[in-house]
Amino acid sequence: MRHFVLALAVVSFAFPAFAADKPIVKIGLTVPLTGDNAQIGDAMKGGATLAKEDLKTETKYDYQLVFEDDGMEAKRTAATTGKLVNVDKVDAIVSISSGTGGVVSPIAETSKVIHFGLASAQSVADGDYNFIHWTPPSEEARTLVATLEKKGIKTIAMLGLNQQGFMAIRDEILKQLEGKDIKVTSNQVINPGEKDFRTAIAKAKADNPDIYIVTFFSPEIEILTKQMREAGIKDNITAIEAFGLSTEPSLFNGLWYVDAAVAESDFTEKYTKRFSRAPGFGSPNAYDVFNLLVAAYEAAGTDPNVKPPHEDVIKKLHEIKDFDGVLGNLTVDEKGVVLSPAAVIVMKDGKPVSEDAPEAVEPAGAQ
Amino acid sequence: MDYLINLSILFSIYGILAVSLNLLVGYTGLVSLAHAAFYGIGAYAAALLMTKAQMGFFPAMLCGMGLSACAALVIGMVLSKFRGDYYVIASAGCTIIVYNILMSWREVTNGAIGIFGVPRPAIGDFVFTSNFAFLGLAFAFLVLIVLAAQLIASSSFGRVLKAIREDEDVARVFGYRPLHYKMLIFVISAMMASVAGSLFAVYLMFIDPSTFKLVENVFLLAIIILGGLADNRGALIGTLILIGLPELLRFTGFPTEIAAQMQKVVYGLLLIVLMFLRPQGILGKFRI
Amino acid sequence: MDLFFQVFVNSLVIGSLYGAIAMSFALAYRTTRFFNLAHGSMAAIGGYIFFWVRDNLGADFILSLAAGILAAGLAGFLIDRFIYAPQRQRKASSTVLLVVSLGIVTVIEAVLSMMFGPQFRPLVTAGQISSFQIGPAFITHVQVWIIAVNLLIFGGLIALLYKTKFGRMIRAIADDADVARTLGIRTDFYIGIVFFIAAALAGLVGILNGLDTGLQPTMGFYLLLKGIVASIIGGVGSIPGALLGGVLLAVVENTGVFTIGSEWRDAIAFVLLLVFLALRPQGILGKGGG
Repeated sequence: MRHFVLALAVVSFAFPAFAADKPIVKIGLTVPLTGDNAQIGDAMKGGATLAKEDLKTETKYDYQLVFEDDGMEAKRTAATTGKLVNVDKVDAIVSISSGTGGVVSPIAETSKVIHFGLASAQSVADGDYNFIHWTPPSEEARTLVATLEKKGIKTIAMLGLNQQGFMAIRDEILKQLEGKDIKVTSNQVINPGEKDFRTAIAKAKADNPDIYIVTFFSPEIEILTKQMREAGIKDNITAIEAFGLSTEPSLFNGLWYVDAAVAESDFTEKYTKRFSRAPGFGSPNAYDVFNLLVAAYEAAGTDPNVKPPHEDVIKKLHEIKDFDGVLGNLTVDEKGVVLSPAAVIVMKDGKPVSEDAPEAVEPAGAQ
Repeated sequence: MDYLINLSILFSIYGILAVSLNLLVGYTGLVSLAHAAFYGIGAYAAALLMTKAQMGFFPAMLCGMGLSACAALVIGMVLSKFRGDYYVIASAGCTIIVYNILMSWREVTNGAIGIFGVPRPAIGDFVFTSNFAFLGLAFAFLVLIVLAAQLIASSSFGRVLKAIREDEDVARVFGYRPLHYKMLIFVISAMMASVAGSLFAVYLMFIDPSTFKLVENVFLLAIIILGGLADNRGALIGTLILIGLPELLRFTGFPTEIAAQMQKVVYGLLLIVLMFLRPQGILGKFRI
Repeated sequence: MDLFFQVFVNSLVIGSLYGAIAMSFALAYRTTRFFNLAHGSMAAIGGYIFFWVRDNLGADFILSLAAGILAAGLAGFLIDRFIYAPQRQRKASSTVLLVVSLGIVTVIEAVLSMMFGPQFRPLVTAGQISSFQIGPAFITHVQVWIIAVNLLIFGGLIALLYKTKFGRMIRAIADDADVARTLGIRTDFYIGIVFFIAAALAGLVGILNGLDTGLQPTMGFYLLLKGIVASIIGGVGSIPGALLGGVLLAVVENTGVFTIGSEWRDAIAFVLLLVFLALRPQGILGKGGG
């Protein structure tokens, strides 16, 4: 008897394929693994991989990850999405950035595949099969404007990167400033690839605003900040998301900015231990998306031998309320946007730390 | 299977671009780096007219062709002043300017955000929703354009173009006015590129400026130089190879970081080596 | 007024970068008469070798600088020896050489990306700030160096071309390579040296540009495009023209950034190019037509 148990244990150890008897749910990520934004794809890959490894063993279905490199380019995204849908036959796709999400979402809709975009542009969530897990610009702008008011700031200068997500954020800030006692003295847009910001900075500085709001990716954010400091602008700089994207966060020590809530410290520790580097842009989101999908699949599945149809999974996704994610309590709204709170973050010793949010962060009616 | 359909659609679109660029570079000897500009104009015209003015695909595509023709007239007039290398640099400038406009004229083009929700084309009640149906449409356009290009190449018009390519002054002595011929082929080629752009916009159902950068021209130039200048079959073979190459590399299991760069090394080496061994490309009849 | 002065200083700095790359480009162009699009990649090579020697071998500043400049020069020399020179012997057209150089750019950018990563890389940590004020305008030490080096390159090239035997030789080659060859001048040898000097200067510009903002494998091509615009505006092949064109381009660009908006910078530069090509193709100081 003991031998039999031992033999069974050996067999099940040697043939983990036993588990593969369960139906397989495939989740594909189309992310930039090469090019300027490779570190974002890497961070997402890490988040999703960690989520899979953290998964409790007693799930009804077997969850697998597939990664495709799209370099964050529209043309390549069409091809990678095609491969994920048609060759890998994935059940769900995760994409990053509004541009990539914009390519994936119509394909997901027509091929009836679930799509989670990590995107600021809300149109990525259009249609039944599309979802967003990214703190919405309206939420971030509301937190920013409330904080500006609380600090008694009267004039601001805006410098923003001409990129899908940041333009959506900029438009939202301008919208929410309407009727407020805050004046935009200068509002400049800068194209990707630009490295010389000095004349734009001089122009913004001429009006002597109370604070500068900068919205850029790395490396532009570091170059811009360096050039601002060289032009004598020291501490009156703030941002939405940008400081958190920096590869040199200590540059922003002592500055406050608005971003998604800081991921739980457990997650950061676990991630750092597993990959010997800190989680990056998109890591916690990818981790959450994986778990949201698992939760919906497990809830929708009635028969452990058959995968539930995507329509049932979508229904369950929409029912998710106060889900315990690493980015806080997550609720999926009727449009398919995962509502996650924005927070005021302060950079301390190169690490983002949550500051007590001002009152206005509470849901402020119809937005 | 569907994956191959997707690739075939890309092949059809890039085939149109390659064949039309070949009319300029191969048959007329004008090394233009302005092709991506017309590709972009076609894409944006279709996307904007279909989403903002609820126009159907075919009228929107025709408007795009008209717009490209107008732009080509202006750009062509400017470019017609130059020969050789100056032509290359000036045409590259045109692509950069058009890209800059797509990126920064946000009121109209929606800037970097791009245009979402571009519908698929429809004929009557039939909508080309499935990629298989869409491939039929894209391939039909490719065939039309190849036939048109073939017709141009074998006509007396095409022969004058080749004469201009060989020696503009001689052509002038024979009573032809090179400027008129060069302008006409430039406009025709631009309209063809515009068709490819419109198809690309409705294929992706989303469009942003990132596709219409200067490097896209280098890719197109590599296609036709590899396949063969002044030969339409050559342009198609070049498209097949260079569209298929990255997809093949995708399946080889190279680490993706390296694969993407290896691809570029291959493009670059192709250009260098071809200029030594076979400047006219695989099937080409003309050396630049 | 203060603002005006700051914009002028900014233009002078950027204009010096454009001017320096344009002058080194012009040196090679006036001798070989083709648009060597790989010239910008020499700036990237110089910058990356400087960075690598400084940070990985722990060499001091001067040694790293020398290594970067030398590596760029050598790359330029070897590319000419093994790729351009054989093509010249085959009497290849300038367009063939242009296409070849396009291939070289693509390969160099990809190889640099594989070796050092495709991302942008700052040479100076953003925390190190070293600006000071001249009157109301802020300027950094690196920027002062950029302006100074630009003037040095100008003086050096003029002296080289017009005061030395070497200068007479390459001017003779520029006038007519075939005649020069029949007169017994080893044209390929001299052209090789010209490529070495031009590439080494580009390498220096790349290092300075890297110290000012940072490095990226694709940086050279963008810089060269602006250099070519500057060169055409000033008069292709003319050294003073390249310098003048660089500063003029930067002034127009920065004025545009200031009045119209930063996002229109590239369009402004290339519209200026087209205007010049259409109205004055020989450039400000050029003699021949386009």
